[in-house]
Amino acid sequence: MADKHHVVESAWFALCGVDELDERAIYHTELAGHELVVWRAEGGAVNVWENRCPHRGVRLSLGHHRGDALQCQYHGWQFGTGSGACRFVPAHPQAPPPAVAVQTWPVQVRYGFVWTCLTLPGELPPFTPIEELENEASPGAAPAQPVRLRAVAIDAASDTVQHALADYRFDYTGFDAWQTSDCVAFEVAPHAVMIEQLDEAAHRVVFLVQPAREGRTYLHGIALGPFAANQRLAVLRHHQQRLNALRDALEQQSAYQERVNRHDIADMPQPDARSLVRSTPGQPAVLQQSVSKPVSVLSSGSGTAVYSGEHHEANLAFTVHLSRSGQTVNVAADVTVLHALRAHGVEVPSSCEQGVCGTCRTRVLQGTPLHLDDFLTPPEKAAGDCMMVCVSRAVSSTLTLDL
Amino acid sequence: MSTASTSDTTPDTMPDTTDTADCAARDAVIWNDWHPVAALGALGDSDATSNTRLLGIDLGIRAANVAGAQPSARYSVWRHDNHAPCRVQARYGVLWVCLGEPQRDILAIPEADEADRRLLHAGAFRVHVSGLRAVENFLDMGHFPFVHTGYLGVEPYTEVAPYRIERDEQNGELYAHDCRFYQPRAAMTAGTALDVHYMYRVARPYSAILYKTCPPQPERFDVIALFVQPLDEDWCVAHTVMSYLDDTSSDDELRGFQQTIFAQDIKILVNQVPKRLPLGTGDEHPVRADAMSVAYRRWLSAQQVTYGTTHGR
Repeated sequence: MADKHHVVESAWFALCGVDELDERAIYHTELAGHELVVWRAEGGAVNVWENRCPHRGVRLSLGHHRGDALQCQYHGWQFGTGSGACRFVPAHPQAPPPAVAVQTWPVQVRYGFVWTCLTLPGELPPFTPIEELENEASPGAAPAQPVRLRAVAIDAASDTVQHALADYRFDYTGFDAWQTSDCVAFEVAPHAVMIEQLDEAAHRVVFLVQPAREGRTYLHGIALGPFAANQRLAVLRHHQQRLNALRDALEQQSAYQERVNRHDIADMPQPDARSLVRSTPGQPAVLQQSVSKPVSVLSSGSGTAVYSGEHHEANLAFTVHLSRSGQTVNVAADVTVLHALRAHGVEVPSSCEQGVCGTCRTRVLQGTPLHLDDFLTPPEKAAGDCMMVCVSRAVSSTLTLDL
Repeated sequence: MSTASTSDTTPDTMPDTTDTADCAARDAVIWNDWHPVAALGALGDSDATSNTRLLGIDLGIRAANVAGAQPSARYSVWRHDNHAPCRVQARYGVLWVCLGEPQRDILAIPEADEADRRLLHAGAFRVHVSGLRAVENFLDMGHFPFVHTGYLGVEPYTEVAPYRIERDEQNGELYAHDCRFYQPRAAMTAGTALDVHYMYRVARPYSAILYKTCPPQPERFDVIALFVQPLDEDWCVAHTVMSYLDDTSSDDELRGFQQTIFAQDIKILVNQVPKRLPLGTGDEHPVRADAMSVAYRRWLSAQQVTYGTTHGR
């Protein structure tokens, strides 16, 4: 998972046109080595998620759109729009869902595109408006409707692609693919380039650069109007031809570069300036957000008891001492240790809350635990020096935990 | 992959003992185990040579037509990197190789010797995923209604009832007992839906066996074995071998059924991220239905298996 360690610049990137999400489509793409899945809930909310089910790692883009949730194809787990929290596990239809969520990313919908930023919410940079596109979006000006170009995938670093755009030429007079008119390029935002024709018409096209992963870039384009209705297709085709030529040239160049690098690394300048993302190995800049979802105390407790068979001690109350904080917590019958601790402000990391995943393993310093989990092996259970506080209880009237 | 030509690479008599694969030092359990490398039926019998790969080592295989020889003596396998011959055995319809020093025999399947059973190699599937992920998928019932819809499961019968994990410390094996699942079409012989009873057995890190209710003889089990050949840490070949009591379906029908099922699994397996099996808690999020998966991962950890894992602990 080395690609997780890339430090991507904290900025907003366009991922796809919003109309790609029509008819419950599930769109998958990449940004700085992160696989992403993009979908729109029936209520209209657009979601940008890590394209990976937290249960067994299967790409969620294989799954199904369920209106306001995405369903994984492997085990049918459903994750709700917005928070990405698991809301249904078909293997346990009666049990409350586990406190598990898909990694979600912030979303903006601007200029007909879905944008995201691979940054934690607290560090979210403001969205830099692209003035040239703001004007185009003015309502009522039908002929001014821009033409959105088909996204092009280029096997070259995003910096290389962005620099190459400085030489992009187009010409709507006659739509000759090989004729060039003078154009000038502007960086209108950190990852957006505008090309303007230097003639009276001053036609303009804006490109949005999406660094997909090392050595691969997606390029989105918007040709700004006004266009006559019968002109739009010609504009689209014209840019398609120019973009294909740009792609072919860049890919030839980067393939050549790769060959050179492979054969003589020492004499070649390091392609630092061209690298897609700045990488700092071993230092993940993008942290998984830990998600804890309130789970009903009663339902969770009863679900476990059914699974773990008949233990007459299972529903007795007992007392837990916390060695580090000195607190004492009473655990009532039908309340789990985990929930009793949580009610006293003591958070123990947890996930399945069904005694399976091992996340809430806690050291026992004194007392005898009653193991009701499926995680610990028999020797570990016999040792009695740790327990799963989400389901396990006490044989003795008190337990001392290393908390 | 090695480009060594097989026609002029005769197995040397003197094995080169320098092992370059760091698998040997790091992962003794895997390196010294027997692994499948080919279906016997696919090897032919007249001096045909073929190539394969095991634990990152390119291998050559030759089947020789030696009259009266023991089955195992008919095959020779050698490493392309140092030309060293490998230990070979033929059993359960597949050819097994040990690259290291075998510490124990190939796993035992007593049922395979019962006279009224048919042994069938149902196919070798090359999959771009760690072999351990393939084994874990084999041990999983929760995916039946979603991946094998209409065959091994169907909505709304999605619940995975509690089952029992047994750790056989004596033999170092792992079992899941009392597994039950509602299946619309459990096997070739199942004309109607039935509540099947399964028992899973993990005998080796890369080998697992499913004992499954046999429709014609409910008191006995059909045996389906998954022998996984780890080509390297990210690629595997899954060999499915069946020992069936079914005497009405043809081999082709039985093979076709298994191939349909496995083709459905492949689509999932190649889309698991990461390709290697995470062993650390917190990497993935199991629930009660995954008790066998959790037990399998912990069982691997306890044996210090790292090959095909994310090396998490």
